[in-house]
Amino acid sequence: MSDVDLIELNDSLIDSQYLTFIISDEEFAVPIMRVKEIIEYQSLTQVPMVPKFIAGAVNLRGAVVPVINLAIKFGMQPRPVNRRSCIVIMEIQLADELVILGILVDKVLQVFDIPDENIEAAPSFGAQIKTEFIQGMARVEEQFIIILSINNVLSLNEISVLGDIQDENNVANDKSLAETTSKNNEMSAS
Amino acid sequence: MDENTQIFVAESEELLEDMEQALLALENAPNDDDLINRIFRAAHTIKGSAGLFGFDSIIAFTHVVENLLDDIRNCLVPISTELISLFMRCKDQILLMIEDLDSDEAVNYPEIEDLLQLLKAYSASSAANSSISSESSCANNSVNSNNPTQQNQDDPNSSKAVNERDSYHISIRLDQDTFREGFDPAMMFSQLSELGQINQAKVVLAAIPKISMIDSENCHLGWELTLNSTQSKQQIADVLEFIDGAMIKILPPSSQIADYSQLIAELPEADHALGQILLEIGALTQSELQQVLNKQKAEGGLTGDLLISEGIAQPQVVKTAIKTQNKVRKEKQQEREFIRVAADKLDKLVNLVGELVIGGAKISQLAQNRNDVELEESVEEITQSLEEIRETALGLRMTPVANTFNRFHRVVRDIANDLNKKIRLKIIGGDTELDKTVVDRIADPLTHLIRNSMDHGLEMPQQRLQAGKPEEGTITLSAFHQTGYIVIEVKDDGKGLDAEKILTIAKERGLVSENQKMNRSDIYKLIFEPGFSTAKTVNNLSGRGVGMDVVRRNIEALRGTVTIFSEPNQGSRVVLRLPLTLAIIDGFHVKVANESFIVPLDAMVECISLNEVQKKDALRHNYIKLRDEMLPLIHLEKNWRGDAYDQQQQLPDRINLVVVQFDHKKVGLLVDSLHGEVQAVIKPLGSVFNGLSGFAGFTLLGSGQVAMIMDIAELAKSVAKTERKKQDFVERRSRNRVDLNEVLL
Amino acid sequence: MTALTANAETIQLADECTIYDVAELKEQIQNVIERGASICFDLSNVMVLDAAVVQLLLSTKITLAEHDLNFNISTFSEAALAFISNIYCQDILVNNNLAECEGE
Repeated sequence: MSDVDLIELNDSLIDSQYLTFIISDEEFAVPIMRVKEIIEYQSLTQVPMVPKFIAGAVNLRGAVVPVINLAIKFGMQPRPVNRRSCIVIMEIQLADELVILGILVDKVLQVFDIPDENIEAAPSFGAQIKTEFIQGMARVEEQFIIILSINNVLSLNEISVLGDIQDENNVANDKSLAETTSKNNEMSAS
Repeated sequence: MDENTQIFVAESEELLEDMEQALLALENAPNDDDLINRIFRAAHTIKGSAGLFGFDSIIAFTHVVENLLDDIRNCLVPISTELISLFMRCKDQILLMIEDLDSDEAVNYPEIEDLLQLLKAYSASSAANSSISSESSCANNSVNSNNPTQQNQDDPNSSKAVNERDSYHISIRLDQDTFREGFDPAMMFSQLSELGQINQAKVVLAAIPKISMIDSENCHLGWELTLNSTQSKQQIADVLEFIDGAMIKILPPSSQIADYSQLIAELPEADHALGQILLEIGALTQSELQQVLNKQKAEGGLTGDLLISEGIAQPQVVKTAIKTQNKVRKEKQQEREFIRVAADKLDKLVNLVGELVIGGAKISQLAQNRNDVELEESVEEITQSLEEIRETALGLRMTPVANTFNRFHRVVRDIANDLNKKIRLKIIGGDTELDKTVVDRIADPLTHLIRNSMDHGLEMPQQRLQAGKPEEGTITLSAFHQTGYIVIEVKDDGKGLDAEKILTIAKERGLVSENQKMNRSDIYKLIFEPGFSTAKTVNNLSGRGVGMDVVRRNIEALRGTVTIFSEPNQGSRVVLRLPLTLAIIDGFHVKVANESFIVPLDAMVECISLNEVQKKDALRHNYIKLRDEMLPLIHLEKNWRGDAYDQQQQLPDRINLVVVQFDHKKVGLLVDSLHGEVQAVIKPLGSVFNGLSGFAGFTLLGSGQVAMIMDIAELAKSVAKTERKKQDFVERRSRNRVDLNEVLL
Repeated sequence: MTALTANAETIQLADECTIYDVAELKEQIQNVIERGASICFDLSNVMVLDAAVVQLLLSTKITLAEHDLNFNISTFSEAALAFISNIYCQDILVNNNLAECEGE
């Protein structure tokens, strides 16, 4: 049985389980079966001339794994790296292949069941992030958590370094990233 | 295509390759039995394997090819140049069919009918009618024709053999413990019957002891049987596999007499009952066997010798049997030397070993910190072994270039015929090894270079004679190692490049200006320029409208270089220099903006630290003056960090300059610090970073840190592009500043 | 083909005749051969036969031929015949062509 089959099979078995985490004070959830592992934040190798939301690359037991900064991707203010910062390693299907990616999160919360009936469709407006990135809104105690449509957020179109994306980013490079990065580096150095 | 089919395709391609080599060699040595056997074996094996998969069209066609080859082997049909050409076409046809296996649609082969008819026209029966066989070069045949009894015996023999060859011949010898394990041989037969019709089955009495000697609970049963079946050999073997400890031999339909002889040698009864079994499997008739047995009693000789001296078994059958056995043994040894391994398994191994090396480096660091000498020494030992393991692992990907080189015999032969030129291909250093990926990827450029030499380099025979050269032109293809590189040369003894003509064409195409002065070697380089070669200079032979610029691009993509040398009337020589492997790169570790980068060592010219004037230049312009030459700069950090960096107005003190070279252009790379040479295992960029130009991949440093490997040429272009955009974006102050773009692009 | 030379003794196999019986059967056969008698087997009451017994029959036939004695199976039960045919020994045990095979 191939990995893909396995995921599809798992889909039906544990598809109501979600991992929640915090990025820039906002709580998000992703289906647990997409999560391979969670590693502590470690200093990332920054890759020149790529879109800002690609935070860099990390060595995961000999494999070079790209790490995505969703805060930047979603246009939120990235928080400096702290003690609880983690990299959530996910396995997603990009085009024909399974790709291992990391996403930078400020804090991992918990894994829990969200039954389908507690999930509402994404609002057509009003959310901070693009509707196609939202798989649904989970009602958990009086609060809504955004379930990320991880395949859409991390689709090849969204994240791959294609041709000219880098130029605009670099030309109009803003200070906030430089600050974030330098803070990150200080954190990792200490 | 599933994995097994892939293996079948790969193996068949190799066999066909070998077949072609043997056919080419056969042209010069038409009496060489070994070559004919090699060709035959290739066809035979392909047919056999195709049978395993049920590729009927391949089986059917190859079967006819094989039959004719068998006739040649048995000296019934003489070998000729036309016949060799026919087999070449057949080889191409089989290759075509094999390559088409993965296409879903049924493919029609208009050639097949034609080929089949030709094959049949040549085959033994028609040859016999025209009594060609007596003119055959085969010595055995002429001896036989002096012996009238031989003629008579040939016929029943061959007709009987044909009968046998329509079905599988299976030999079964059960293990001693078979009864105790409660195995019922009837089950085996019923299973076999499900696969086909059991024609003849004989229990082998020779193995059963007399009543006084028998341990009645031991099993001594064995059978020789023929099975008419459309199933593959593998399927039959699968059915028989469940019989513990049994000795099973399966000869597929149309197995040759040599195969039977080999079977005899392998069966336990062979020593004392050769004649008996020859009878049982139908290779000898009853009367022949009787004769031999009588004589054997009288003289006490060995059965095999007797068979020959009596002229009963065809001498060549017995000879081939013996020869085949020796050869099979030899081949088995060679098989043991080679194991087919999927490339990704090797990659995985190399990756793991790479990790191990990194882990080793970490431990080594820890040991040093502890000041424990003994520990350090042990770690040092491990580190050395690790280094050896890594080198060995990387060496696994190395294959001899001969595999690729030998293909060109055919190319040269065919094109020479088409061009009416006489051309010989000389290969030197075919055993030189290099990375399989590189080997595969040089085939096309080499084909192009060779075709080019044949087309434009070598003259017509008459012209050559007039020029005082031998009629036959020579193309020399050679390979040798040179410190971490492999050098491949394509040399011809033709008329050499015509500098004037090249210059004229280049001017026509606007590659050089009308009154530009160039020396000869610069002119030669022009043929590698894009746009030099057009439809006019590329005829149908020089490939798919591909110019020499593509050759250069292919070679450069492999991090190699192309150089051309030429002497009028002496010939020309194209020299390719390629790295031994793509998996690993010799690099120089530098840091820019706190991140690690690897500069490929072969691109590096020198490292210098900047003086104050140069620093100011570097800050203000995108160039510095180095030894009175202007050196454009790649300022990676500035480019990367953008305006935020520009505002610093000052270069850090630690700045160094690495001078790199590509396309004969020099560029300075501003870096923060230098960290020495490293051997970097290249990890591909992966789908996320695939569009990132300027970098060849990632690598892991000894510390486990990820570093990026620079692709200098691409990086320069990409930086230049960003620069240009920036200039368009913001109106910049200095109009007289040197534009990096102009220098680079 | 050798003519029948001596008196023949009959050995009767009955019911289930399998590997569990071959040791005993072998002794019985050996005794007959030592007495210099030909053997006639009666398989008419055999219900079950196995390959070990068939092998013993083959061995008997070989041995008898060497001693110029005769081997014969007078009657077969259906089961016995079927089993012998199933393992392709009918040529030798039923059609009696051992002499030809031995080439003597």
